[in-house]
Amino acid sequence: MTRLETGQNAEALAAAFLQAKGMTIIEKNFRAKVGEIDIIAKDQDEVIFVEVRARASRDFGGAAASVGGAKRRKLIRAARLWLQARNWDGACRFDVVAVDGGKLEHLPAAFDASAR
Amino acid sequence: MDGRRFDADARRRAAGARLIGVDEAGRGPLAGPVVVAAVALPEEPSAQLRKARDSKLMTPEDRQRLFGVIRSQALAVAVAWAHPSLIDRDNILAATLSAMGRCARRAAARAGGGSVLVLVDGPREIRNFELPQRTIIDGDAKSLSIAAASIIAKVVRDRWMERLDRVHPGYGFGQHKGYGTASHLAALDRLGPCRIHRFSYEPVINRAMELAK
Repeated sequence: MTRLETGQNAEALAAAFLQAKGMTIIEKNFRAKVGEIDIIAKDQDEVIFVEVRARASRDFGGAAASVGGAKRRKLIRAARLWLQARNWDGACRFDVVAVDGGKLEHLPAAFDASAR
Repeated sequence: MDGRRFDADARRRAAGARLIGVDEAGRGPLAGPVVVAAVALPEEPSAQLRKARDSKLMTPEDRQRLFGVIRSQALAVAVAWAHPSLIDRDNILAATLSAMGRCARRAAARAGGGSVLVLVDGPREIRNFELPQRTIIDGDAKSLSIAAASIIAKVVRDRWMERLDRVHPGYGFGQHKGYGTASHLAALDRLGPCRIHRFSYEPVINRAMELAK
């Protein structure tokens, strides 16, 4: 299995998981020049930007939480762009879903936009 | 050897320590929590209590009856569970063992202190656990204390799944209790997984991926 396939599988599983939790998937693989967002979903009145981590491996929980600073900034910038394009001024948050082999962990509000 | 004599023997070998039987229900199902129970029985169990057997070998009616008997006659009963999100994060074994540790501690405290010996069903010890423990393969068939714990765990889990059936209708959780029966798999195909499904279990993963395409 190539790396891309692994990532896509992880994203498909993460999307199905979020749907099972009652969220609606708005968009997958939103790409902007400044960055990319794996899944954009809606949970009641909140828009959720989801980073999917495939193969978080050894430190499963830890690695999931450690979406690094540079990656966060990219996500936040892309999210800003998306919010502006949609004129959305309601609540939003950033979640991480880590998928590794059979395991899955969901971290709601893994970080916030104050990281700039 | 019947379960009571097994326990009497275990107690003698542990210098009279209070026995706490620990067992689990629901490691196999595709949905819902794994429920763990810990039970400390009196040293001289009543004739009613002695009817406790491996919960899987009892009729639902007998389990219900014994559930009431154990609840009223045991020195201590404790229940703990691991929800699907924990099972998905850690794997079923680790989630089960940590729940066993939590409820064994609770039962030991409720039984009023003193020295205890925790009898754990299965081949594996509870990790990071400070109380004395002994693993017993086929414990629910051998030890009365573990059999009693298996009944509590099973009845509590079944009742909980019946409630979850009302929260998540359509899957038939009240009937199959989350196990991978034909009707459950058919419902998964039709409805997709819901929030109490275990996303680390192959049949759930496969159907989730299929629906996500």
